[in-house]
Amino acid sequence: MSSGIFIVPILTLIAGVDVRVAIGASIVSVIACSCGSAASFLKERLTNVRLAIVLETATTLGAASGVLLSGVVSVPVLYAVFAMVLLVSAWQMLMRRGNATAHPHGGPTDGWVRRLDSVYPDRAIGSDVAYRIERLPAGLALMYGAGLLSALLGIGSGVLKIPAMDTALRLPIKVSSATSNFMIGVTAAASAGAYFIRGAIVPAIAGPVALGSVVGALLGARLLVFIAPNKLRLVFVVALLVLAIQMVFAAVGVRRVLGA
Amino acid sequence: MTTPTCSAADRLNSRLAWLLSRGSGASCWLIAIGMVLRMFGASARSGADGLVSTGIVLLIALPTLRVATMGVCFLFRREFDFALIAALVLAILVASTLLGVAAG
Repeated sequence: MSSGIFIVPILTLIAGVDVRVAIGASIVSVIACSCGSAASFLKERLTNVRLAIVLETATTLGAASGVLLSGVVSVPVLYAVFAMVLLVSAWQMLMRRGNATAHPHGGPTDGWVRRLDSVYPDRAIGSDVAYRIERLPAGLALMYGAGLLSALLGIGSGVLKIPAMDTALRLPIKVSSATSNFMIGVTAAASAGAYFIRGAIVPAIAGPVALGSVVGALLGARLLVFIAPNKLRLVFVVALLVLAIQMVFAAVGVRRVLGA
Repeated sequence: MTTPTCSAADRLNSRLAWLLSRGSGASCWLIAIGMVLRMFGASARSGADGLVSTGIVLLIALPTLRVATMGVCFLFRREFDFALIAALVLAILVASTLLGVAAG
């Protein structure tokens, strides 16, 4: 999960930073988290780089659409939609807790999509786990939505990407986490250049935030390998519920909860 | 089940891991040195801000460099479909930045 959704409220509510500058710092933080921890996931063979580049077409396209739509769609509507997506995702993840590593295989048994299949080593169970990619079109559609909301809300949208991969593509949770983390940097980069040129990324604020994010991301990446999938899923469900409550508050007008 | 050969996949993973770890490491050092220099007062402040800004620009450029590296690696491995997809992602990234600046 990216740090973006936590950075904006912390900077605006506690440090009193302007919201645009906070969003700029948040985007840098998202990229820092993604790049800082990606190496560890790649070495552990948890990241599916082929799947990531395919899904990045949808996330970057969504982010580009978000850049165009920013200012057109009202923010409370976005927060309400985000809250609904988070609640549905939390419910879906909770329902699939007992099926953490053994996904039922469906869909075509051959074809181009099979080139995205892979294996990952799960230290918690002490062996390699093979997995297949399912329902790629549904995954691409959800990734487009994640990219769109990412650009509109100024977040990495890892909270949307992981459930999308988990429920639509049927990826194991550790592969979802690692691949999502690998992708969020590119999604954020789609808007970071524009923020930097506009002057919304202030070095004195974004610098320390980026530094702290890299250190936190490195620690998180090392911990992920040793955590059991079901425990990780439960942590995500709790995080999703907390964020959903924040979004509901923001949608009904308690805007300061999100610092928007 | 068809899976990529381990050696080719591992090489790609290693290259990407090297790029991202070295890139984010260099970026962090630049930002950290800049922040330390800022503490030494106004005379060092402009240089310090320059170092922090360079670190941030490097960090922002890393994902784009990563996509470009993936495209080149796929090209050398004659996986033209994935190389084309990487080129498409690069094109969208550039277009998105230009759109963002224009909408500014």
